[in-house]
Amino acid sequence: MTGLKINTGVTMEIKSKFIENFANKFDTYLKVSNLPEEITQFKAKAFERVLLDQIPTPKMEEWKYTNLAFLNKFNFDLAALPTLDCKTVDKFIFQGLKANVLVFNNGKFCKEFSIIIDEALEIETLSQALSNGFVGNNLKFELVSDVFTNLNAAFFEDITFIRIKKNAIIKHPVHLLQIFDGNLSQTSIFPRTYISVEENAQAKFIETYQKIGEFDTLSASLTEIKIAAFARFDFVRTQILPDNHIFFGQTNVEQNRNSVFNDITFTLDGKFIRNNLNTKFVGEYAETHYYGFYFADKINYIDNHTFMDHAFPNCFSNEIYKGIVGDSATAVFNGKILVRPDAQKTNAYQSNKNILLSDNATINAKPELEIYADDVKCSHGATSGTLDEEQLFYLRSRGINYENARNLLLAAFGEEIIEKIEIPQIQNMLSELFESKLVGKLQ
Amino acid sequence: MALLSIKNLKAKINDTEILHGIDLEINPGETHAIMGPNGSGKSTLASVLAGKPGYEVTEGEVLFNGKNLFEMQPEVRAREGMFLAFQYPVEIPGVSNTNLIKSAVNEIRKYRNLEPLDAFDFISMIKEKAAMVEIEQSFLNRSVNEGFSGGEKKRNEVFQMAMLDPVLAVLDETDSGLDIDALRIVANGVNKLRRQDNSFLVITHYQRLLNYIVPDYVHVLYKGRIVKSGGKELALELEEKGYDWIKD
Repeated sequence: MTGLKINTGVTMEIKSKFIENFANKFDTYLKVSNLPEEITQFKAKAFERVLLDQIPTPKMEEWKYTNLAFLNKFNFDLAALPTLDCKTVDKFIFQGLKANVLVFNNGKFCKEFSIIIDEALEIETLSQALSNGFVGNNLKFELVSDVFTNLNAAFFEDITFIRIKKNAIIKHPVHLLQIFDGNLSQTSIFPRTYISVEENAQAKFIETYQKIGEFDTLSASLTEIKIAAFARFDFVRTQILPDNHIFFGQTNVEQNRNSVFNDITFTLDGKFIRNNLNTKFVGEYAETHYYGFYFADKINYIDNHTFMDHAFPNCFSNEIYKGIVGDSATAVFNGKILVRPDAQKTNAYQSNKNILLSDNATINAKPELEIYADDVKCSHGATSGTLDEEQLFYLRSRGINYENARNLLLAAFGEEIIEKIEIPQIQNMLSELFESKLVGKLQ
Repeated sequence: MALLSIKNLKAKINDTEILHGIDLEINPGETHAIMGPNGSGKSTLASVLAGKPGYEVTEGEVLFNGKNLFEMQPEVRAREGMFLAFQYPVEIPGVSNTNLIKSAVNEIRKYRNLEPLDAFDFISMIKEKAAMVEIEQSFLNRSVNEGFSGGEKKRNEVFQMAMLDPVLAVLDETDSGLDIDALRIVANGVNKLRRQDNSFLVITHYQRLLNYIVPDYVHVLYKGRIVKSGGKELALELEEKGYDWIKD
């Protein structure tokens, strides 16, 4: 296609319309964005990398189950002016749950719609953080392998820094409400959030995603979480997205010694969802739990890639992902565990269970264990199958019809993950949403 | 009219015919026992009656309440009043006993054009029936049969039977693996459910259970056929002489 000269002086061939669209916008974007030199440099490097990498193809190991050619049919604009109002935001806030609510419109933190009730929760946007010198220490450019994360780096409009101060316990849950606005045109959205849980602090976060407007939207987000020594962080993400949103989410977690991290990724709907969840231990005796549940139906594609990097000894990780795949949907679970040579006394467990509801449903399950230490306990297992015929018959023999018997069994399958959520209101809400999905009534 | 009328029933599994022509009539208020050596087709008969997938009926007919049994899905048979107490009750992790029984009771009530039970009536019914088979309340919140002992599983079957109040209960080797105390509890539970308008088909290998659940009729099943029928004294005769006597 076209050759493009970017400001580094290198001319590159652009192979896809998806990237070409962004290339056409990049120079103007940088000029009008009025960012300090260090950020501009960072973005230029990131975009250079995007041009080098192009969109991934199934030939690449990390994308072997994914065909991204469909991205070329879109012509995404960069996020324009928000159309958000209070009424819209109110619809998306949990009723009956006293919580801090941080509202993000197209990735940008909206203070005017947010509710902060715990004082120990500190929030700064990029401009605030720049003025107090915070950014210089935290925005170290790293060449990451994921092109969508680099696209985020090139085009993010703002960064939200959330800080939970040393020894603080955030009493109420923190709700990150990401609103994707497709009211004006096809829009690309690049949320970027840094969460710092300082020493011995504790917090529970839940992130939800809402789409407004009729135009197609794409989000490629980056969430960086640093959990300091003896801190504890719980993160629940519930994904119920309409067909006209494309979701790429990168979450990178760094855990220091004796910290605890619990992640629950709960996906009920979404035509295209790719979650990358990585944890790296940077201290000993840290503990991580990944729980995932996905329900893919219609022609949906739901992909979870996780990576547990045991870089330090004496850490514990446990990962349970469960999925239901029906109709002509595809789900992917790729769980990598790396135990580095020094990471003796590592305990790392992984399990992935799938139920297929139709002959056209596909599950690609790939556990990847790389172990370079000799004194470790590691296990993994992946299963996929249909519902248990004996259990179905037992329920039916009690007068319960096939459909209801099936739903009882599927509900039981999913509840194992839902019950890990420690906020009762959220747990009940997800149970209800899951049950409405089972009877085909998910809105 | 007979409650259950089986005529020349032949059935196979995996292309092997197991039942070679069974005839049996059960009237309301009667308790029938079917005895027989291992492999005679006792459990196949129970499975075919309840509609377990995998069995193919090749000949004959079964009328239940005057209706063709084989035109009913397993859940419809249950709603029409049939109950199978499983020889090996199935474990269902994640589905509580209460959840199972509530769904079952309400689906059966709906079929019979009755309102769903309100929470109060449901709980008092559960308490009464649980006490009958000496089941504790905490047991009801546990997942169906998960981690239950053999005795607990069989008591749970009789508890469910009591909750669903069937007109025909088929007990498939309910005595297998039970110690004498558990056997007595299970049998007492069954006896309390016996009335003029319901019937029982008790399938067992041993006569011992029939000391507690005394049948009106005893049939001997051998190689897929009923080879002998009689009163309760036939069970004692079998106990004494063994099955070889029948084989000749």
